[in-house]
Amino acid sequence: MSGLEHITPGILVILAIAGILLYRELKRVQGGYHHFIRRIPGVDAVEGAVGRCAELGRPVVFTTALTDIGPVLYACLGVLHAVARKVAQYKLKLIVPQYSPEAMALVEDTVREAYRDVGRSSSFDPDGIKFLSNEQFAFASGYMGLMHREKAGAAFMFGSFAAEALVLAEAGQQVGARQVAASVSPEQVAFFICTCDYTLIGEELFGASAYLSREPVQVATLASQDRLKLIFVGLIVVGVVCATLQSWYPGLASCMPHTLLSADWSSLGW
Amino acid sequence: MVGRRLIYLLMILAVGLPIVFGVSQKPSRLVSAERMYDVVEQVRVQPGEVAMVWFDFGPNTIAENEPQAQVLLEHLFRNRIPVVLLSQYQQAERFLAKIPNDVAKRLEAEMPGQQWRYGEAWVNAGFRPGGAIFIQSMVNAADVSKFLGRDVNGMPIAQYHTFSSIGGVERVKLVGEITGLVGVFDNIIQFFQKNDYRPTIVHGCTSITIPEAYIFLDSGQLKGLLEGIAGAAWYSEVIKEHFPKSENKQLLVTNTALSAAHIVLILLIVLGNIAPLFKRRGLHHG
Amino acid sequence: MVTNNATDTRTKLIRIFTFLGGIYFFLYFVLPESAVISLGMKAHHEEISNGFIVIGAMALGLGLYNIIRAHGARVVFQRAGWFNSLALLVGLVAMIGATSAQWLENIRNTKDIRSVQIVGEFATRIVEDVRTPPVGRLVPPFRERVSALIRYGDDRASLVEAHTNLSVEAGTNGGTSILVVEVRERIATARAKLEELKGVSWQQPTEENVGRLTQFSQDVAKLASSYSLMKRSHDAHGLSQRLYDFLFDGLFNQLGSAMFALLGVYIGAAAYRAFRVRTIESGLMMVAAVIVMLGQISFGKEIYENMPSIRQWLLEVPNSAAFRAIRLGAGVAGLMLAIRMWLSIESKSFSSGRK
Repeated sequence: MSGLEHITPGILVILAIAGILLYRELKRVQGGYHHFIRRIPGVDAVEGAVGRCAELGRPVVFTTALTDIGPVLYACLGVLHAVARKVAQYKLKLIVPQYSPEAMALVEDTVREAYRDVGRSSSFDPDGIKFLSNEQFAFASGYMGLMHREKAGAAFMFGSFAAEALVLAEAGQQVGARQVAASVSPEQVAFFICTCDYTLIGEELFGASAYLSREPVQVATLASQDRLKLIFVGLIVVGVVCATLQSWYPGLASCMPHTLLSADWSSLGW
Repeated sequence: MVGRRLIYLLMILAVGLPIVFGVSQKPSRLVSAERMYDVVEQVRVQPGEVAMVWFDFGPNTIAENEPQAQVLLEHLFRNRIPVVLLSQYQQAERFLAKIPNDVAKRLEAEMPGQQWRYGEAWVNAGFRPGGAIFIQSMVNAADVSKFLGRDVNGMPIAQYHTFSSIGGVERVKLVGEITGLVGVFDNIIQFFQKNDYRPTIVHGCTSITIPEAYIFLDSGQLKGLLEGIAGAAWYSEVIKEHFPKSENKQLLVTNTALSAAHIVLILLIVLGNIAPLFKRRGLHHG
Repeated sequence: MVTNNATDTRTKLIRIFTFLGGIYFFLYFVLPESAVISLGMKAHHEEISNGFIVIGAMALGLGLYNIIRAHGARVVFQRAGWFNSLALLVGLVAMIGATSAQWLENIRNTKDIRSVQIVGEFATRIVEDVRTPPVGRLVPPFRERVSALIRYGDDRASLVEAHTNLSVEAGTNGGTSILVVEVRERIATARAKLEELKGVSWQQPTEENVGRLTQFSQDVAKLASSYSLMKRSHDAHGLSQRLYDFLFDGLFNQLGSAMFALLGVYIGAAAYRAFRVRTIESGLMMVAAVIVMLGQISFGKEIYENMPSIRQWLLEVPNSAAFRAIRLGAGVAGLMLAIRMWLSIESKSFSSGRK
């Protein structure tokens, strides 16, 4: 029967395992279990960068660049909260240039909450959350102008980046800002490594949020995704071994685990 | 020490001088572009069957994506394969209208007496919002021409004789995705398929996304790849081998300018590594 | 004043809608094709998908409202940088105005072109109804329909003629251009056919008469096709199109390309400043980078003949492995976060984990 391709029963099993892992880790963490999260140098540098701004009397800039509302934004907000807390404690200026108008309300709430947590609600300046543009390079040019005018002492770039990544990072370089970047787009990581002081690669962005906030749901998500990755690594190893055996003994095809994983519903009689 | 401004000047000269003086060199041979030529050349369409090409790029990446779009369309037009053009990106709308017209005019000038007309050689379905949801719905539809409804001018696509009864997506014999955006190509790879239909997908990408595109080329999900301007340049050379009157000088000049910039970059890297040695030696002697 | 009860109800409603929105696509993807058909999901999938797309498109309106509110307030209260906001609002209005004018022009043209196409379709429908008499549908007598066809056909031929003359007078299409000559020839053919049809008795739908109508339908279809091309060619010189071209091609395109071009000079600065070989790993990376660059450019094969092949190997083997690993990790993380969002397992607040 021809139609949109649907997932196989094997993939459904893996999705179910993902859900079970998440549930299990949530219960464990809520029950008080403490997960070890390895040190991420870029995240440890947050305190140092903000401290440097305090010494120099320069503002801190935090941008989520092209990140729309979604899982990545929620991860970035965790880091933003931690940065905003530090900024509020040091009584510095925080500027959060925005690309997505829909995300602005979330960002504003996060920063306001951070200021409230350290008892500095009155210092919170909503004008620091600036919507620049939702056009990629208009945003980049606005960011460049902002960095040069404000002479930021530290720049945190967390989220989804495309070609404007180098433009943003170079702007920070030109004003001598301490820069920490984290991108889920692997192709931009190379540019950040060249221009930023610290770079977080791939899912370290998600780890950073849990590392800084230690919020139970985030830690549980991190733990469950690590376990799921281990399962995938195991499947890859099994798949490689099976594919190699199958190339030597073609008759083994039908009983190979990877064949079972990719079998569709019709082979199960549905 | 070399100042920032001097570096900028060097880069501008490296890119600008070949363009100003029209210097062109034979491009480097790129196997992925050659494969793409062979794939497109092997496409055979019955009445009603089409190729579908997505222009998912905007003004930011026209330097790389526009030449790719032009060479792919030129090849499809030469082989008289009807093309449905559309986009998941609203800023591509201008290019959906302009590029096929330019290519058609160029071919008509090269081959007087032959015509490539809108509604016969191609149809422009415009920007279609929804991304993955739109693609899933199209794959689900019984007739792509009825699903697409109207073209960018508001005319029912089914009114154009060549595109009046495309049928299901299995009748799309080639899918071309020209983009510099992140994420849109994934929508095509993931969702433009049925459980008994795997399209022939070719892709034109910017240089930044080449490493990521290679994953799909290696796994066979992509059958051909244009790697930035270099890919488009080599593709145009292959077309020229088969059609000597084909014009590609401007593209070769652009590619040569890019090559010159690469050389300057390599020299800057070498200089950047050597310069501190001299600085240290100077301090030592001082 | 929002009470706690109202907030709880609102939160519950948001969770319900989030779950329902996600469950539909989840089930559609997970269930086998036979189940999807038997549940009726396949039959209504297009409408449901369009509904989601429309909801997503409403974000456009939200964004527009936010921009006008934020920047309008800055202009009205003359806050710092208000002139930048004014420039933004002027640009916004100009672009919306130009695009709307062009869109309306397009709608008008499409209406005209469709009205010509309909003449041909009407002729085809008359022929079809003669060959296969309609069941359950009342149609006027054959003679009356043909009479209406002739009248309408005359009217549309005059419209096409008028628009063609307008285009030639305006200079948007040359009087001797291939397109105009073709349109005029086809108008002449259509008019000749109409005269022929006027001279025929349409009492009975004979085979000869039906043949005439079929031929007329084909002639009108060709006329509509040429008319469409001529009309679009004329409109390309219209004021709305020229304004749109200036704003998009002249300003937006160039600004975007210029900003993107900055990357080239910035990478030059980064290459000199930051690409330092300090460790074995960075040395390996540098060698790989230089090989990939040389393999892609024209001069690479002059330096070493097999440079493109080595480049190909580097991209196909080590690069693919690394990229797959990063994508796998990011994909798994995204999957977990997506499950959380779907089930509304949200962080209570970012402060709740701190002691």
